[in-house]
Amino acid sequence: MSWSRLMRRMRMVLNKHDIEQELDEELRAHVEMETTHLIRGGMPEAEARREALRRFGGVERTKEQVRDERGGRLLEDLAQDLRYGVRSLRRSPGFTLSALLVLALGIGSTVTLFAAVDAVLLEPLPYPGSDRLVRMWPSAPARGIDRGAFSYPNVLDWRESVTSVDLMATYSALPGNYVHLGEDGPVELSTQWVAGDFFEALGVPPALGRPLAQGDAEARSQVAVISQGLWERLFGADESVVGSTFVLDYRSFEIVGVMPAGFAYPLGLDTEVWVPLTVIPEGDIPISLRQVNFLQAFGRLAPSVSLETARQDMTQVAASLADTYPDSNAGVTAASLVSMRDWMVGDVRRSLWVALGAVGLILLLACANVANLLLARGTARSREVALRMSLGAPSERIVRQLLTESLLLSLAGGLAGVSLAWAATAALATRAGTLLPRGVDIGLDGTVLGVALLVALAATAMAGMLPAIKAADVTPARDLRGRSASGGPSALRLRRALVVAEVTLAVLLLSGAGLLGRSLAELSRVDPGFDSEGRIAMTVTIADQKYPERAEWMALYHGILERLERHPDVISSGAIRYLPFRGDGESLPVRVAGLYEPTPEEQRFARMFQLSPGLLDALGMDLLRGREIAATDGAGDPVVVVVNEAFQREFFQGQDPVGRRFDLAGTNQSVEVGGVVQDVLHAGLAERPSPAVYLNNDQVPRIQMSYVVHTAGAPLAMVAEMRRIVREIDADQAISEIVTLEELAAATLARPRFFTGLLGGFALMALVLAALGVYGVLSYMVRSQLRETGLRLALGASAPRVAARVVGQGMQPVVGGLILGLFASMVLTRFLGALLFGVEPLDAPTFAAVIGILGGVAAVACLVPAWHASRVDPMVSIRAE
Amino acid sequence: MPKSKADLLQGTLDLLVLKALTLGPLHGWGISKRIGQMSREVLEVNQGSLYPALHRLQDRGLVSSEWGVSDEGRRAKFYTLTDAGRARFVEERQSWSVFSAAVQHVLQSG
Repeated sequence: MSWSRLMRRMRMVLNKHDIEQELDEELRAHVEMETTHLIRGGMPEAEARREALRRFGGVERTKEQVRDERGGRLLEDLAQDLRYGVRSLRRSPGFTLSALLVLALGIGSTVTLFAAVDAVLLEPLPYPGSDRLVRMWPSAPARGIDRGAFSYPNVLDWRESVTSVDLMATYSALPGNYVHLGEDGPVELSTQWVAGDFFEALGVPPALGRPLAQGDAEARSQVAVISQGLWERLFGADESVVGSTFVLDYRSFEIVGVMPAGFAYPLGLDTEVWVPLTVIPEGDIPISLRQVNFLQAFGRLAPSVSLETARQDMTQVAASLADTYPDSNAGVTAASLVSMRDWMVGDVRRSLWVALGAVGLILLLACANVANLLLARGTARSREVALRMSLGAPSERIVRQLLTESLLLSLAGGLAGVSLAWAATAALATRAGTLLPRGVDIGLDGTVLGVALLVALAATAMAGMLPAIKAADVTPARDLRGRSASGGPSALRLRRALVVAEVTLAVLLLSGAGLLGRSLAELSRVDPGFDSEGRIAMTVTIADQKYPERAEWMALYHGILERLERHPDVISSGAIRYLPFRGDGESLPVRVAGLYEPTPEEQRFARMFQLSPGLLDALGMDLLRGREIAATDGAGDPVVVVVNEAFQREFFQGQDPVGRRFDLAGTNQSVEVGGVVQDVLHAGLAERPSPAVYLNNDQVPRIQMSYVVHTAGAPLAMVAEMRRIVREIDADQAISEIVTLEELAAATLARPRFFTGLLGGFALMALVLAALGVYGVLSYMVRSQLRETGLRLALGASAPRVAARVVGQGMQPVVGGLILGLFASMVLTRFLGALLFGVEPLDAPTFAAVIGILGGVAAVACLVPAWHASRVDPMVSIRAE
Repeated sequence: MPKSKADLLQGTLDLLVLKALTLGPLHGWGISKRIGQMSREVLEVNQGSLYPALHRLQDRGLVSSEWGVSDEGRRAKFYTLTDAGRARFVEERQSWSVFSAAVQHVLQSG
């Protein structure tokens, strides 16, 4: 389009009023000239005027066509449509408000969930080139171990031999704490032990100084990289701190670098100090031994190497190591590999997509509802439309006008929805910050706002198209005639179809939420194997650098235990290495003479937990047979252990093991089974219990223990007491954590509870929307059938019969929707798959309940219109028509 | 809605309007009358098509318009052929001759 033409069009739009006037005048001039012409031909004036007008044809239509020919037409129309739309929406505030509310809810929840999916799943990880990062594990296929741990010698061999990764890093699986003695007493700094190309592989350079490298690990240098947060808190952001030393773990470390704020690996872990893992004393973890598997690894793929190629490469390396070191590596013949992203967000992916899917259904439901509202409104406006059409407005024009109105609605609804999403994402970031990886990043950004606009436009198309076409489909002759503006049977059919769709969607959402709810209930019913009521635990890592002799630090351990036991509020107390859900013990190979003598390739493992006598009571673990660990099972005595039921099944083929012996590698001797306890679900409620061995901490001591107290008073009242006891024994000793067992148990349910709550909320919304849909259509139907109802009543039909007939009519599409929804649910609930626990995707009671609830609510929604119908006054209604 | 007949005749109507204007500036009513006279009253121009055509031609820059006073002393909008319009007319007339000759040929053959 040429510039001058564009300018002309712009002028036309701007001077729209003048141009319209001109057109008016031009056409009037034509008619007058024609009239003059006819009068000259001898026609009387009045007749001439009539004839001239007749010859001209429709003035309005001609104007319309002239406008069509002119450029700038679309802009002009849009401006007019917008003005008109705003006016007409303002004229019916009830309709506008309800449509806006429904749209705001639909769009708002969609945008919120999308923001969550975007932040958690779609955004690239905060490591440059993160798509090349992979996590790797050694696997032992014959033993069913897919993701094993590395020993330090093994991980170094992988780093040397695997050519498909450029950089490879390793770190200790469990984050831990180092004590720093500050001015205000001891503080625990969360510490990560790393080696290999940890920082270089992640690709994030330090803000200050240098990162740690493999050289530091090989030299066993006592050097540390600290987080920006710690640098600011502890050193007042002093740049000269690089190169200086500070005391950590009662040793002196040189600070070589500071990592920038926001750096974390894995995401969400607030590490404050990174040190070479070779500074771990051999006496704590013998890291130079090839059988001590405690390390995790990741790496950066070499350019253009695929995940599969790398897997084959690593499998070869693992197999060759298994050949070279059969004592330690037998059976570890393969490698397991996933992308870093899959590893970090993999386990919430399904939950989030399911939630996004659910919210998409809500949006559809909201659109169906608004479409229904628009249809009802279209019917009420059919006279207005008919009038405009008979005045020459083409039907495309009417459709466009009505679509503009829906667009206005959707945009306003979108705006309201975005404000809703703004509040909701903030709440979500707070609530889900710890539940979802990167949950704290959930918020509205450009991408999310763009999607919000798309969603609003899609909502316009979905909700507005059908009603607009329907509304423009009027026959002026019929619809102008009078009061029977009912929209005709086809509009009603459409509205009933929408009710079917709404009920179908609601069934889907309700059954999804129902299944998740049932599975949450099942999960909460699971017996974890211990009691949490009235129990509180304190975890202390004894500073073994300060107490080099075992006898010294064991004295501290016993001191804490004794004082806790003496406390008047304490019913029972004890200590255990790894609280339930906080670690699955140390893995050790087992041999039972005559019963279980595996080859190295088939070797299965038991989990070892150290505890103190009395712990079974303190934690409420049930002793099934035999005796528990006693103080008499002391340091020099023969080792006596308590095993769990899973151990009995796995290694004793179900026979009673009490009094029998087996070989436990970590103790280097044959141990005797003293008793059998009920399985404790250390790894989580949804996990199968592993074979477990419990033994006295005096016999195979560990420095980090969790002291569990069963108190007669409020568990939280013990917090101060526990702190005081530790302080009295050693004022420099830090406490890692104090947590009630109920908190611990609740935390394991937090994520399923969160998602179930989310879906439950959506299901409730769906229920309300569907009920509103049914109600809307039915009350409209009752209103449009007033005359017929009046006739029936006049002819002797009883009020209850009339009411029953209305309910029947209303329930028809509901039943259709229920059946359709049931089929759709049967197909779709299988996608919940792994999210379900203890309940099948095709759970009959859930489906029955959904049908019952929805059917019931729909029936209630039918009752009000039915009651209205039965109260119709025959005389009034018949006369009114 | 039925399509108006003018749509089918659009190309032809534009040509006729351009031709009518080659003789000098004229208002809408005058154009319809002139086309009637020139066709010996065979062609009757529908106003519902004429005015859209005029505005279309103006939008394309083939005619320009100006308010003036008619022979009867009435204010009216006069349309004038622009240079581009004149050039287009010559072009269109050429292709119309070829077209109508061809149609003629088809109808008389065999």
